[in-house]
Amino acid sequence: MKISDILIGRVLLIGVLISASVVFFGGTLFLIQHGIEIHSNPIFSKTQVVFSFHSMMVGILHLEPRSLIMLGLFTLLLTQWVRVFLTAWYFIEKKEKFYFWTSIFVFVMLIYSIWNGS
Amino acid sequence: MTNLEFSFALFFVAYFAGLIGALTGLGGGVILVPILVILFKIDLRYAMGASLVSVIATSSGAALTFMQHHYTNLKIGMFLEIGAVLGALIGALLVKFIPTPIISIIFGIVLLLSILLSLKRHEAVTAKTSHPWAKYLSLEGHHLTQTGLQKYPVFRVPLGFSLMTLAGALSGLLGIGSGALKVLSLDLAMGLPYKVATSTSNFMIGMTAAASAGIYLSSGYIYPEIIFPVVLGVLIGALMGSKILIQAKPKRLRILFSIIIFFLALQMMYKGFLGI
Repeated sequence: MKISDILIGRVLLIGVLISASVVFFGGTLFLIQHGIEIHSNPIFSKTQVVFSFHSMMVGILHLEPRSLIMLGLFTLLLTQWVRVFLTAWYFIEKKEKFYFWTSIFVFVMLIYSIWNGS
Repeated sequence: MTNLEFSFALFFVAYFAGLIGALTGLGGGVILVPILVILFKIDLRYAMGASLVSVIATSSGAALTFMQHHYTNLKIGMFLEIGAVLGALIGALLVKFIPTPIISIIFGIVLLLSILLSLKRHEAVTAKTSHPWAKYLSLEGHHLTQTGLQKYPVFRVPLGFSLMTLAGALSGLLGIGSGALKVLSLDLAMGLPYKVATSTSNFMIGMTAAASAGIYLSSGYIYPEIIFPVVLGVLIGALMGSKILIQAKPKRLRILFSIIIFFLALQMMYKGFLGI
């Protein structure tokens, strides 16, 4: 496959549209279920664990709004990994070894960031 | 206020933040955070989380528009991203250790500097030959000018790399894209043509923000109910803004918005000094 900058741009746009649709779906479900409840701002606490991959997957199976919104965010992050991955591929095709390894380094850092605590 | 009303209010405010962010060239995040904190009384960390996610969305949504014109220099983008991504990880980890009032004050200062940068005209760089690193790494690219396709030189690579690392750190520390500083490093420090600088900056912003986002997720700064109206609002606003930008010359708008943002910056610093 020939990778071009336009292809990377297209993939990013598709990724962001999918992610926005999932976030919109989750948000709409949230408003249907809790829309008429009185809003109170969440108070930040360091011990509160907001995200875990496992609870997100379980929540998605139960069509739980928060988990769906998180899935949308996860798709958005995944799109960034794809961006770096495609750029690495682009450099391989151009026989630019140094830039291929540069992209791989950035890729590893992105993975490290998500693995770091979850 | 019910959840429904709150979500709609957030959506509209985020929409305008995205619109103004695109029109002024400051980006949505840097405007959004103070509004969420001051107007909606949302915890700074949740506001930063919502902003960071919106930054990733707008950077990805706008990428195709930039890529179509082939202005993005992928080599420069990826090379400098090494610094930006490391900066972003450190910045995001620092949020845990720096008290929120201090972050508020830093935010205010960065906001003021961004306004100054966005209003400043960029000056032509006088040097003609590329930095030795740029030649060694073959960073130079081509861009379309009135006389056809021309090669452009790349200056001061180490300075650009350092500024980009700082931009990454601020992005992680404040939950913003730090587009103004990114464009500054590419445009003023490395002397890239303005369009190459803005589109390469856009290419980098999403990756840098994604590096911080992982740490934000595990630190609990991402709150789904706040995120969803904000991300959708900023994304739609930014896409509309970039359309308007092509049709109009919004110089007066930019000055007007800069004044508003100036007051937001002062309020963030004031909040910080009060220790809230």
